[in-house]
Amino acid sequence: MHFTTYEFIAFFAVILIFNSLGALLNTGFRKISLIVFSYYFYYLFNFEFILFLLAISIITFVFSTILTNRLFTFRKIFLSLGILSILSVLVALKYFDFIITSLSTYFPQILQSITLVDIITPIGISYISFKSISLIIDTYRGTVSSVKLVDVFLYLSFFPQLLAGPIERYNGLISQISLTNLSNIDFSKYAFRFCWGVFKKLIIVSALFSNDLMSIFQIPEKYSAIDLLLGIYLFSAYIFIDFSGYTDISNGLSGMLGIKCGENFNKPYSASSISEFWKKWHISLSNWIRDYVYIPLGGNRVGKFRNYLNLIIAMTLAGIWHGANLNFLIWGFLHGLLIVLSRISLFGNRFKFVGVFITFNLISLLWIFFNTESLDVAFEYFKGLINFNSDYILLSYANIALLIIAIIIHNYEDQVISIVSIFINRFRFFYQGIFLGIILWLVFELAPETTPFFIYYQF
Amino acid sequence: METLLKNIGIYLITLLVLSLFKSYKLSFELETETFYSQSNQISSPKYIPELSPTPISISLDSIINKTKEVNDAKIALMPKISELKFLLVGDSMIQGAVGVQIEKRLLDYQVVDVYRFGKPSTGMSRSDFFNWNRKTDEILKDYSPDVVIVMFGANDGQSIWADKKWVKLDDPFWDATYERKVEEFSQKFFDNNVKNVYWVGNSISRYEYYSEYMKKINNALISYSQKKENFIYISTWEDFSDSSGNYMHFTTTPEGSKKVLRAEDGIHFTNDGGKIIADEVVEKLKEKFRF
Repeated sequence: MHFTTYEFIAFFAVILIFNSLGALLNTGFRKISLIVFSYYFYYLFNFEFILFLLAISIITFVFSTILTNRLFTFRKIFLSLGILSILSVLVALKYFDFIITSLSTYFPQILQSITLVDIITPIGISYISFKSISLIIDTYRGTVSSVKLVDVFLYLSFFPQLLAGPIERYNGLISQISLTNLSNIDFSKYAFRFCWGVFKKLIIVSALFSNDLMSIFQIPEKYSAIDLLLGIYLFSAYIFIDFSGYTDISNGLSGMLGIKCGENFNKPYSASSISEFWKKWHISLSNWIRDYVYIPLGGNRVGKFRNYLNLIIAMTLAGIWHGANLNFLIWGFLHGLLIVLSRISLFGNRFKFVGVFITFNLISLLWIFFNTESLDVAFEYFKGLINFNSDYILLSYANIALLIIAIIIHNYEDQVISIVSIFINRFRFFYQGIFLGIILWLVFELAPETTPFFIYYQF
Repeated sequence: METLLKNIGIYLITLLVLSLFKSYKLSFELETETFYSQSNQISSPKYIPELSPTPISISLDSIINKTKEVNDAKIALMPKISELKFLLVGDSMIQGAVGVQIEKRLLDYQVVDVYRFGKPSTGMSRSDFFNWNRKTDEILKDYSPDVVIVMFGANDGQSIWADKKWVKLDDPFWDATYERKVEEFSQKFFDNNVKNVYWVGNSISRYEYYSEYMKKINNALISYSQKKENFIYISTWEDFSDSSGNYMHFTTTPEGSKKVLRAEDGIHFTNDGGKIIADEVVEKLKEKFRF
């Protein structure tokens, strides 16, 4: 059951009623009902996924409970054990096949005896693992002073964030769920934000996701430089609208439940440097990498060279977090390298427009690694960018119009959401419901038969 | 309390409006469609040339040489692969790894052109959801292929919308109905001067129940391929089954490197899996075309 289906919208009505009852009657009831609905939601993808979620929740609870005891002697050892346990699960389920198949090409004899196991990687595994690690580290640091079993279960399974974040912190989420007063929610604003996310996904993303756009990243050697260039711009628009659309849906749902979650995007393509881009793109992941990788490595409190190295390590890890693939590793590494280069100020920041232009084009070029199956295909793509033949497939009015729409959404969606929310709030609740219902119906009506999966589901 | 009730009210009214529109649309939307009107015709028997009587004293070597000469002569008469235009259509398999690998192989043989169109979640069963006959007409208006390669079935293990009614999967007429859908679809290509339609069969999947559906679909395809001369069925089942006939997610190459053949869902293919299917397609093409 996906967020953008009629079935989910009906399912959410039940959750909303239980959540409100919980807020009125008992916080415990509210939390348990949210856990039950979250597990059921996850179960609908695959029964085995909930076993993974259960296991990771228990491991997290055990280690974080031990670490909240500040007088305990072996805290550092247990911190390492806790992180290692979560990473082991992550590696076993997500990276093992990739590691073995990659190494077996070079060392077939040594790896002959290792049998690959056919296990399905749970959706959202990287998000759940990172949330779990953040809680374990936060209890060690003392940022989280106590944990409850119910809260840990809810924190890791909270359904709006289960599949593709944002990577919320324990305190931020649990403290809000523990509140009983839901009267201050701007309900219509969050409901519209949900509709806005569904619109972005079902209409704009579906329009951007064409056979030609897919094909251009699969067999780039077939296409001209103009097509390939347009392809990376269209993909830049596609990934932003797809992922920010998911965040709109996720934050809209959380908001309707009375939980305000962190934002993941802030006009990322208007960044004038790569490091600024990472403050505006997938913000919850950037913050996680900063707090739990970059700063523990020494951050900028070390020498220049070590600081640059830390940046490259952190960004490479952010890359490999996305998936078991050399392309992601290279993508992350190059982002790290470009951040370092921008610190050495190869391209200055005097003219903001020039900075934005260069940064956007560099980011767009790096998406090639992100969206191709292998390094060979990525290199073919780069090679094709100097293939000036005259066949243009993607250069159409429709695609240019889509790019313009994407720019408008990127720059002005906050204003659109605010203005429409203010407009809706002027009416009585009955008309607000009718208005939102018509919007959703129009979106469903205009959407094509099939829409692609959210890109970030695979991570 | 009042705010809470108001919020729930807003949401329930939203849901109600959406449901009303949805149910209104449902009652009118099921499109009508007519089946390909011609009755199933069993293709005429192939022309079998009369053989001249073989001399009794002929040696084995000369028979082998003669056979080779005949084969060479036959191959020389076959159309060259590099002179052909290909169309690849299907569901997510064609949009993804399988289609990509077949297209890459064809481009390696420097064929005139390849046009690939894949629509995920579609198939032959649900023309109410996505009408492939209509889409095919659109494609054939702009593109005239010589050979068509099709892969459908992954989404077809369900009731079929046909003759303004649903034919359920357990209905005894399901197989025949599916076969007629395939016939109707492929006939569109034959009517547009397509030489051959190659239909890639479905493979075993991780899930037993799903594999059973795929077997059922393959049987309908095989049945039609036996009736229609230029409709060629390509089996892929064995390529992804181990020696006991069970689902195979990985394989080890003769050199010892390990490969993942299937995607996470146990239904789709990785690029390595797609390459195996592309090999099967090329083998079948070699029977009719000169490489």
